[in-house]
Amino acid sequence: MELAGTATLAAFAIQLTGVDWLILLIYLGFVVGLGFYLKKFTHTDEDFFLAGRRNSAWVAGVAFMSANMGAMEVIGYTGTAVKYGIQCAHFYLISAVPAMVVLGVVMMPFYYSGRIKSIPGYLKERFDEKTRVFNAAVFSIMMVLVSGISLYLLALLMQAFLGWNWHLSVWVGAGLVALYVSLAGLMSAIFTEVIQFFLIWAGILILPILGLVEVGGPAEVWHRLQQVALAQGHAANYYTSIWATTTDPGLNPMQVTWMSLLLGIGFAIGFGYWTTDFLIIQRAFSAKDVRSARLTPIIGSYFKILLGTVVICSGLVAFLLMNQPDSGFHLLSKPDGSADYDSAMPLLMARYFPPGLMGLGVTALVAMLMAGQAGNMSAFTAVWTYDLYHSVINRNASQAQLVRVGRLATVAGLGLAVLGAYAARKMPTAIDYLQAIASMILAPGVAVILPGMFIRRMTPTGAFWGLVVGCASSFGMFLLQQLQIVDMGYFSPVKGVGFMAANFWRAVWAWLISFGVAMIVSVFTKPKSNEELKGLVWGMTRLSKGERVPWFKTPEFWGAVTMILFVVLNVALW
Amino acid sequence: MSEQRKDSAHQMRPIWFFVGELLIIIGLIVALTGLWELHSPPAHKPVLWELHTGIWWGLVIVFFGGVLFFANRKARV
Repeated sequence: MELAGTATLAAFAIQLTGVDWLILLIYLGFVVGLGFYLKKFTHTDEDFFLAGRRNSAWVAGVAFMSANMGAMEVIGYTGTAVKYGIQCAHFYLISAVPAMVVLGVVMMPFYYSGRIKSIPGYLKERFDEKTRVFNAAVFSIMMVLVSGISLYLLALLMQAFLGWNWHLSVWVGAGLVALYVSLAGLMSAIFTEVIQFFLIWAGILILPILGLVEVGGPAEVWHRLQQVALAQGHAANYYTSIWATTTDPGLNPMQVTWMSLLLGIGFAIGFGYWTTDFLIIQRAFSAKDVRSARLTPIIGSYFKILLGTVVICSGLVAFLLMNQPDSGFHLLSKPDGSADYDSAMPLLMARYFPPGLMGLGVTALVAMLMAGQAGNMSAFTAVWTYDLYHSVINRNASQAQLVRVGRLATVAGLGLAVLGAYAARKMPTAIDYLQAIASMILAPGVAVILPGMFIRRMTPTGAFWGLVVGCASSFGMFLLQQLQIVDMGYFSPVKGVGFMAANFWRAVWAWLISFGVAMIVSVFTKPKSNEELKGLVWGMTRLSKGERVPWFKTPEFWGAVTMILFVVLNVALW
Repeated sequence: MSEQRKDSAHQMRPIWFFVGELLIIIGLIVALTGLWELHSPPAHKPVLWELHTGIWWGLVIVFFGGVLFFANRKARV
């Protein structure tokens, strides 16, 4: 989007009053206090790594969404809405809802079982030990890297908007998360995620309401977006349509086509993230029974749609204010002079929030950081302890040893994340691409796991080489583009696509290569016996879907309702 | 699972109780600050100041927190 103007970082800092600090300190004290309270209830490894498997569908569903509501998700996507307009809705609809419903309705009965405690754990049961260890190692590295980068970015945010010291923000943020996650593991991570979830909503839900009041309501927003598009020489629906303008990448601000949306974020990236990323699925594993576990992502899908509404409305309001010269609203600029789209949400807070409410807004920002960090660390800790330590290093470890290793892994993981934050500070351009790499890693995972649930003939050796070659090829494609050996559109069947579409197409190719290699190698290698695949592959045995309940309480019913909502929203925004 | 763990597990308060408690405290602070600012407005008034967002949004948070707190104050999981 065209910029009406920007201001420098130095010219802006949110001033916190005493009451704002009080709210922030109450929140931090509450979270640490909860960690100590929950430690009393953490005795076994299942308590520490799976929160005792006693959570209701609502607790698990809220934690599931909270783990997805990190600072970069909320602040970053508000900036994406400023940049790409209503097309940002794809990240909340096609990229999320179908995958969440498939996870709950189809895949969860395979995942949720007494003998499976992580996604690599499923890979061991379905395939073999080497597939599990490879997936666990790649996932652990990814978690630590993502954690380090998000720590770096949050400290940068605190420095820019609140004037806080960068080093202090990194160490205090990591220290607090290390403290409460190491006390009670996933149990304290989930409890604080639920608290953070409500605080984040309390802090951000009011933003689009005030923004719409200032701009004049939803109809006025629509009208003015069309006027801006026409004034810039585009079609009227340039910023207000999510599908009609995707026949040609030149017709929409994201520079994508409908095919890259469907196959890229709809399938390879969306399914990769929502159905194989243990960071979020671990929350469903904490549910008390299989029906609650199946409902977890479906409850999450409703909140995902609501979050999209808040984020996109806020982004559109910021965009319109930027294009209204008398509004006095300007995005901040980066050191290279380009617009810092991520500044949109904090700037809207500074515009509308009085003292007190500002404290709540800043607390919501801090809660987003901690939710993301705790999510990364509890997932890393479980995978490291179960799938690497217990599986490779010490097969005879006792429950007490596993909990101790889990606590140490939490502290060590956050220590590595702090180092990662310092490394990112030295090479800031690398961070622009890390999220893209992370999503590329997930695409090979879904290429093996999802078909592996239905195709009995897929062999352990096939799955292993599918994963290895898939990950290597996605990195290879990324490097070829970054080193400018090939251009951004090289892997796309349509020319003229942008950076975003290049990400989507790499994910599609990574999926196809992984799946292709897995199937070709499977033809020449030995599959597992039918007996070994019971409960792991569709049709091999009758899966438990939980106790019999009335139809309106079933995951199938609520999954169908969210899919109807998904279709209605796509048609309404067509 | 040991008997000791069963006993202590049954004494745990549900998460909704803690969420309610925190929302009541924070909502009250936000609403009371909003009321105080009616009496002595801040030097730099935010946009839409005339809506007194802090007061009513703080009360919405208190109400929501109150529902969670009172519905779960005796519950144990």
